[in-house]
Amino acid sequence: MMLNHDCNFNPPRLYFFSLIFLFGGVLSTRSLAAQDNSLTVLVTDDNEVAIPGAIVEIVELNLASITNESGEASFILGQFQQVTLHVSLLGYGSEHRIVDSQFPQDRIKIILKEKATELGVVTIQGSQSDLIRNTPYAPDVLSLDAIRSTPQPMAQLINQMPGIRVRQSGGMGSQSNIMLHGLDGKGVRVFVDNIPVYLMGDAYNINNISPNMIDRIEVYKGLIPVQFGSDALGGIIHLVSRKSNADFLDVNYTVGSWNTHEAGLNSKKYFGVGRKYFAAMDVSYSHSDNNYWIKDREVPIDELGNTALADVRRFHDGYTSMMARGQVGINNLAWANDLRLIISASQIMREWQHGFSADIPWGQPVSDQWSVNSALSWMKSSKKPDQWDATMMAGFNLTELSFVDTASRTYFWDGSFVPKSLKGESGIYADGRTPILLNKNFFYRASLNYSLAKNYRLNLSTLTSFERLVGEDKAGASTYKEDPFKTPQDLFKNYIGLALESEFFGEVITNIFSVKHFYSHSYAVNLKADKTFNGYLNTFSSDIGFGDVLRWRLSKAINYTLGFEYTVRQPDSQEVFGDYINIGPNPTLVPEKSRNINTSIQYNAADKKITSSISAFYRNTSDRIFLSAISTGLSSFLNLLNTETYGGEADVTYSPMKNFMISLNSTFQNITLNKGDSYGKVPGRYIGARLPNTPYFFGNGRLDYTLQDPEKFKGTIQFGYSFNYIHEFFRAWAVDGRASSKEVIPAQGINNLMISYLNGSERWSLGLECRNVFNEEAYDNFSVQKAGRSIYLKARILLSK
Amino acid sequence: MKNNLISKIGVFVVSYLLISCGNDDPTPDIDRDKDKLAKYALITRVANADQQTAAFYLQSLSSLEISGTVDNRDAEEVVPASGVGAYSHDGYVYINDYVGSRIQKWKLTAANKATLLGSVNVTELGYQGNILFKDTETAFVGGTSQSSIVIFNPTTMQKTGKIDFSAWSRLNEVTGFPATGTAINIESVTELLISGKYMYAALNYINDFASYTPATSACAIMVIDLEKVNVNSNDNSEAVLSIISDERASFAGSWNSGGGSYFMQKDENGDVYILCHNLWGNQRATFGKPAAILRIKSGMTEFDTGYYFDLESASKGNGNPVLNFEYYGNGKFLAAVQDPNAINPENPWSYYLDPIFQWWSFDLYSKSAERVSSQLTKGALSARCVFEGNNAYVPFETNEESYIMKINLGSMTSSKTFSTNGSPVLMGLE
Repeated sequence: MMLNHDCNFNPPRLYFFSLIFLFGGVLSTRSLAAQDNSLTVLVTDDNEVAIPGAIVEIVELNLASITNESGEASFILGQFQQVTLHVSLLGYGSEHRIVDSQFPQDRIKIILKEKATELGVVTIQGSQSDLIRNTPYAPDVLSLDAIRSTPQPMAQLINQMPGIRVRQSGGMGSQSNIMLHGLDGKGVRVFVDNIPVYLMGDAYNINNISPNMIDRIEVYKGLIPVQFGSDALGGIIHLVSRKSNADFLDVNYTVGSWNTHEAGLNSKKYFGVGRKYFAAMDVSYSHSDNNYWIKDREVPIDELGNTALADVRRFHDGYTSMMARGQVGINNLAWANDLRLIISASQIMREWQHGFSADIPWGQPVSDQWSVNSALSWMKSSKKPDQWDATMMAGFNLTELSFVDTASRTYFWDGSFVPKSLKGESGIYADGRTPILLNKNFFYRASLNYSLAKNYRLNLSTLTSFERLVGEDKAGASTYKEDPFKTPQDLFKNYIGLALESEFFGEVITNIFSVKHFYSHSYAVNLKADKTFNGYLNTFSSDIGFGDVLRWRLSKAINYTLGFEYTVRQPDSQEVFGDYINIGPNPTLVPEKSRNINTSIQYNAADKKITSSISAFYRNTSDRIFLSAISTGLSSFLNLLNTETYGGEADVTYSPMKNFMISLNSTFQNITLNKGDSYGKVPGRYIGARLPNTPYFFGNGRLDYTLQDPEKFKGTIQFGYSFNYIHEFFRAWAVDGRASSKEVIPAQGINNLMISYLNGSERWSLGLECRNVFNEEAYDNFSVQKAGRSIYLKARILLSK
Repeated sequence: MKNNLISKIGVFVVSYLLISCGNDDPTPDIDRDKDKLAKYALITRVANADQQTAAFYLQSLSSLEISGTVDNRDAEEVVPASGVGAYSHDGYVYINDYVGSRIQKWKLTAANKATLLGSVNVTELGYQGNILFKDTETAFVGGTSQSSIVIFNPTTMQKTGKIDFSAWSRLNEVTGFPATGTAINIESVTELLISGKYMYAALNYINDFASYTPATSACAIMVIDLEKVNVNSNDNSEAVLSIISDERASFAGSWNSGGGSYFMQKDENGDVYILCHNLWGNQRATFGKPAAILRIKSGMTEFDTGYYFDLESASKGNGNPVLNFEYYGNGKFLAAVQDPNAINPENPWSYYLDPIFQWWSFDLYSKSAERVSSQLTKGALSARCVFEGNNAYVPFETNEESYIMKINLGSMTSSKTFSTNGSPVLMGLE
């Protein structure tokens, strides 16, 4: 059944008129900015160290601001007699201060006392999160402060957020694909502290990184602030590292099903006069055998190799990850508010149970990736609040990936095998595969915020990266005839973005217009038709992106946002160079492009009992890059899909009482083909049809209940329940084949239960989680079954002063 | 909450309306008799959205004299796989998923009901080659991973034995071709053919499969005495008589090229003709010799040194490899001739992605050729033909469309019959 294109509306036209409206608004309202009194609040801790990121609210006027790196927040106020300041930050106790109209002209200083930990009610939208969420980009924010006592992995936490579906190809550490408002794969970038993870190695990716290192998760959907310096197409997952102004030592250990062990240590210590110097350390270790049960695999039943279906355990899927990150820095220099050196090292060892499909198991291929990362970060802001601030970071990263696949065996799903003449299980090679790839990259990021006038701020950001791929493949040389890594392959990318933020009618309307430029130059291997080496190819691309977002504060409780962006994603090093394991190079790729529109209404009740939002989105995306099977055992990235997506999402969080919270979200996205590709791999006859093998309706629910009775329990007990639902979807195009015969990724409802206990002194906690309580068969990709019921126990000790 | 519910309902209503805006193109009126096996089977291959596998759609046709588009709406989705050949025997359809190492048996009725009757797992073979059906109880298939040929019962879909030819193995032998030090790493039986008391197995000696680098330059055929084969034995090594080779041409056989085309055929005299194809043209320069046909006379166990047919010279000229051997009687066959000029030098994957073949008709006896159509097609993906009367029903696939062309084999005039949604494999089941 084909869709009729005449049914579609024409969002680009809407988008054009929106532009005119917004520009008109910018020009006509500039003169309306009022001149008023200003109030500056300085927030520090017990040690008089400035606290950035604290939320300062003026209760009566429903105004709020976040303290900058100097711990300051400023307000422009009209005529008033008296206002109440409320200052809060997760991890600290909140403070109130009443200020009258005769407040002194210098700063008002408020001291926050740090709390060791904060279990309490899980705040999907905490107060700081609310502020970030209420910016024009309207990101979703999940604070992890209250979650660290439970053993939930990062991918699971992200998966519970509205509009997102994380698809994994197995257990712990397995490859993950984030789908965000209809775009996925490399179109959704993951950042850690404003630096893209693809530059730092897989240890920082969401399937590896420990939530204990992270303060909060920010999700930007389709509309991306310029300071990220990103060429993401569909959105950004931004993991913000944990920050603390107190000395602390946080040690945790998790043990669970499938021989899962996780350990972590996070600490920070200040030194010197005025606590000017600091050192921080994050260490994490994760291991799982991932040997969970899967259903209906063929196992041999006689010496001829006749088979029968049986339930079996995965037997070659072990995963071990280790990471250490150290930071040393100085605060409050004349020329730097914060100067720090960050060095990290990581290693990921993985057994490969199968390739893309789980039909035939592998028994011996392994990979080993290690990374060394270094970065120097500098931040400085003006003495006068909100005048300007600047950040710079430069880093050098080394990532080496080796893959060994040389076994002369054919495995069955019961772990038995028969010898074979060939070497390697991942393909049919002469001597198997032993590529060792070394990616060296240098990056430089700078961002400047500058206040042009009272209601106009400028942001200028740039991200430059240079990647060099070298390596060797001794076994694979017999395939490519010449070692393709003999000569280095290079990828240079430069991004520069400029944004103008304007506020009108006393912050009733905030508008951000941005322009971005993307440039890349690659020097990469080219192959002949017979897959043999064919020299190197130079390719260049230069693209402009632009966008505008508008937030209209309709009332104290209701915000309306509307935004659009024309964005570009340039091919990355894996797409251009390939991995020589089973991905061939393609230096002829062109950038992906997308026209994104978002609109949403957010409601935040004054008593904070209800927060909710409803949003709609549209994506028109061309030249999407897909990994496509070229021939037996070889794939390559190709510009294949041109799609159109529309959808909506709704989420609501309700806290009828202080210790109880319920949160629900659901997403519908209809992704349809709007153009065939030039190779005929995705034919034009599917124009208008929904993209197969892609979830289109999913949702999450969460309940949290906290028992706080220090006398009875000597601490706090928290109960949690979460539910993930995905509606069934076809693996292949819906229009092909009788419905009764079609392969279906079935509807799945996964239930998880958590209970955690935090002792009265908040020094230690225990968390227990049961994932997939009812042992549902779970799939993200056809034939690759995910784990059934599993149990994890986490112990945590936190020392702080 | 109410608004939330209303918005969900709205989204579903809109979705339903959009989905309901269906394609109203008329489906050809296909007569389907409910009481008998199908006369023809059409299998179409459609790349899945994961771009790593394909979905295959099986449906019956009662006639090939139809027009319009035969879409997949009423077809059975049979297997998600990366590579598939399709074969027919005794009225049943056998799907040979050579990447998934599985062979499935399907019953397809004239009423278009498809039923999976069984499957046999041949993981130990690696990538299995074409299937040879001897009778309703015996079939043979070889592969890349072992020096053996699996014997299975195509009725019960159970393996019953094998032919072990490890005593004849040349694995690890350093041949020095195409470069000094090159060794045989893969020894694969790609297809088989029975003529008289002998079974002939095409052998490919390969150094590297990923690049299809050969390790020998000759055509090699293993000769097996069928009378010595015990289908229930796990050995049968005694049945292997010899491996013969001929340096005049290169390899024969394939792993289900064109959806299951054969490269060995026998004519009405029982003479065996072998199309030696330069590994589908990929290694034309490596071999340095043209695609050619060699012959083994009926009842013989040696090549006929008096017969050699240079297919390239007879068709588009030297340097234009030829593959697939669709025999239609009296010494004539159709084959796909590669046009190297159709390969886009700017695209490293053009060889695999673009239509670069043309259909030609060859005559084994007069050693002549005639172009059937100038239309380029993806000959390695879609090549199985059905011959009926004086007509051939020949598949074409371009980057824009797939269809069946009816070709009058007398006049070589052609006309497009029906289009398909996906690469077509057409089979007569009667």
